[in-house]
Amino acid sequence: MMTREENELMCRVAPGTPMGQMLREYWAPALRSQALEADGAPVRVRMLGENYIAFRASDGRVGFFDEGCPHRCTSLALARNEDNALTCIFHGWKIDVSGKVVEVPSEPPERRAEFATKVRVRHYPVREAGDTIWVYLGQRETPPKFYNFEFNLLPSNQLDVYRAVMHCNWVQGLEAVLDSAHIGLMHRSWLRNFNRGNETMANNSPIFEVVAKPYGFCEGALRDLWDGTSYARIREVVMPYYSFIPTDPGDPNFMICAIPIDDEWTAQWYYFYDLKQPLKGDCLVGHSGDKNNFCSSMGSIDNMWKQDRKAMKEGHWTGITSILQFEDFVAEESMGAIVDRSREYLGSSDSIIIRARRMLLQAVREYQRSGIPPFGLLDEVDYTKVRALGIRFKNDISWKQIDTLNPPTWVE
Amino acid sequence: MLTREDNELLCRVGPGTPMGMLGREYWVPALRAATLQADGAPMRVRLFGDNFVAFRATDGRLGFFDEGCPHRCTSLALARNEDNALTCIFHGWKIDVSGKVVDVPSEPPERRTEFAAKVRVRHYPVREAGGVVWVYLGRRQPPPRFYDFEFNRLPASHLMPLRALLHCNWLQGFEAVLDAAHVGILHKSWLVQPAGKLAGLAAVTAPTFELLAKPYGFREAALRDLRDGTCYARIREVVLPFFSFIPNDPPLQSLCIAAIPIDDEWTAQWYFWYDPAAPIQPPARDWQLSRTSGDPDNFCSTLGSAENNWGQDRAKMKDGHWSGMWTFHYEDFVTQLSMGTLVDRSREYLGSSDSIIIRVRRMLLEGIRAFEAGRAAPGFDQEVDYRQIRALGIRYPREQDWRCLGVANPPTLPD
Repeated sequence: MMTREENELMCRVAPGTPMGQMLREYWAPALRSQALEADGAPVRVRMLGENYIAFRASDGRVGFFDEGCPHRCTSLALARNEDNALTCIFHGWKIDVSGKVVEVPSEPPERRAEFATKVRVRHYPVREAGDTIWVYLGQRETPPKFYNFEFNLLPSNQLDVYRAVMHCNWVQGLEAVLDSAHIGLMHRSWLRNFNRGNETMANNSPIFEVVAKPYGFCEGALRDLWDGTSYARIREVVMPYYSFIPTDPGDPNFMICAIPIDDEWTAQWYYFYDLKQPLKGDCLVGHSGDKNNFCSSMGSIDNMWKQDRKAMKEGHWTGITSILQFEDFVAEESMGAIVDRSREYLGSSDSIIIRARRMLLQAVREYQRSGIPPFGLLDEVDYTKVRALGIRFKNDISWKQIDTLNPPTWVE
Repeated sequence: MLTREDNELLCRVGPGTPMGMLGREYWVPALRAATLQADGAPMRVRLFGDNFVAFRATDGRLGFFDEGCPHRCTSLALARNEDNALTCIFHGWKIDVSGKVVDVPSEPPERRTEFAAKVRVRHYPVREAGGVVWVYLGRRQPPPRFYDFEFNRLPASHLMPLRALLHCNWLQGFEAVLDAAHVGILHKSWLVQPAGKLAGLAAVTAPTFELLAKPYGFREAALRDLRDGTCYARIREVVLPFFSFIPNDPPLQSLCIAAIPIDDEWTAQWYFWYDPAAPIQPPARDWQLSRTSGDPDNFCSTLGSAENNWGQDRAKMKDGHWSGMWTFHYEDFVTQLSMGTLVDRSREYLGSSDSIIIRVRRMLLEGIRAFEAGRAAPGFDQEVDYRQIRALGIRYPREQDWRCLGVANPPTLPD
């Protein structure tokens, strides 16, 4: 539970808001690489309450500009994309992929060259990695070091990347991922069908322990099992966005992040990746079929997200029968676009959420005071070491001793 | 005409607003009882700018909670409804129909009982009557006496409650019902011209209004002198702040209309049709519904909006139809909605036919201020027998006073 004022401070991300200012300091995924084709249609991107345009130039480079043409704000999503530049259809202003205005045919010929040099296009540094276009929207001349996450170093065929556009504030997206307690409760029908998650379902009230890290924290959800062993789900959280989720042995690795579109919309990204070999087929089935918005088929509060009451009577727990992930999304969206956290009643299973909120609030206040971005952004962090792990182990060691990159092997 | 400040005071009904606080003091209709099935889907209900969830438990009892789960605000409209309880699908918190938390499986087993006892679920008293689920959202314990209106004491066979969801503030809904002067004008193309001695009734478009104050509101008569030397009175009862009993001539059933605030810009307009003496037969029900969208939970769902001018038919108007609207009810709704979602009453120009509306606004403003000052809300300072409240349309000798006409046993005049 928090005050309304704290909730507003944490949730609002539009230009000029404290949290919006802070979040602009971080590299963030903007759109899937496959969404852009060389000389193809530019794609509108909305992030942190502002509109942008992304496109792939003739030679494959990616441009990322404010959406409106610098002349009179006509959308550059309408622009011609050719010759390594966007050309606005309205008056033919041409902006090359580096963000430089190279032609202003609406001006007298003798003035064009000089005029063009004076026009500034707000354009942003991009990186293409992990099958994703990443963007830095902050004000630093030299952007912070790019995230060398494991998945950002892999070739495309070892990755399967999905994005979902959700009608709720970004913190609801983040919290859903941090909340390990719901898994065996809400997802029970799916886990049962997959014959998975027996360790999770065996104990619905795990103990949570946290180790602070410069970038956020590492968290163990600890469950005592039926045979006297322990099961630890070790998660890595790189604040403010990234959660590395433990998966079962043999399954691809998994990372989720919730990126603010604006105060009331969030892009929830799912990264599946295999560190050793190409993935065989899609990692998610039952979704909309559009990897740029895999929840477009989910419905909304107007149709109660297609919840199937008949299936519930027949034993399905949630009645959300299309895909497990929609259960999470529906729970998040149903709280309302920006949930009023002054009305909650939190328990011990919410300790990680409480901690993350406190970290965000402290960070944004400190950032307002000092201007220094938190969560180790300017530190030397080796993000290749960040990996999640789900593991059964004997009680003679602490989970904190387990190296997730080289876990102990233990045979039943 | 009102100042902007008074207008805001009357119209705004969200949590913490003066009118919202006052409105929550009264029992209000929330949804049709038939929409809730035992162990069926819980229904979302929005009233006074807050979201709630209503459900029918296994044994038929009704539950009415804040929409969000007390844990982390996930909608309980998604919850499982079984075992006389709602169970949130997110973490399995289980809340019985009385509003008590009975299971919190996300907490460690040894702490669950104690933890559950501490969690408060905001739940509200409900009553099922008149074919409708009523709720009391106020703070009084116990809640005020339930409205034992005539229709709330009838069996379902005698009742036909209908609801319309209107995109306008509640006061526009209420004022439309109070305004008797529009009947002969706006609805002229739908009115069956009265025969015999009542001929000429529709021609009297400017009746005289008289009003009798009552503890719950007022009785009001729209008086017309007829050509044969008799009088015709349409006597209406208004139970503030929400209910109006409308006089109807047979074969129409009796009617009570209520304008219940959903939020500042939406209103649930309830039409309680009822026959105190006999069941409403299927042909009468079909006829009533045929003049609407056919959906009893939103009988104006085909109304359209400002974007299509509510489907107004200009060709029909050229052919002689007054308003160009599809049905009688839609004429009322369209005029309310066309003022905007929250009309600025500082821009009006009121005349003598608006005297009842002016009076009601004044009564409401006084009621709000008195309630803010800690005095009783209107209708709560004395005992009221709501069973006696009935509207009446009646012709009577001119020498009589309408105030002396008993609505239960009205005099009959020869045609």
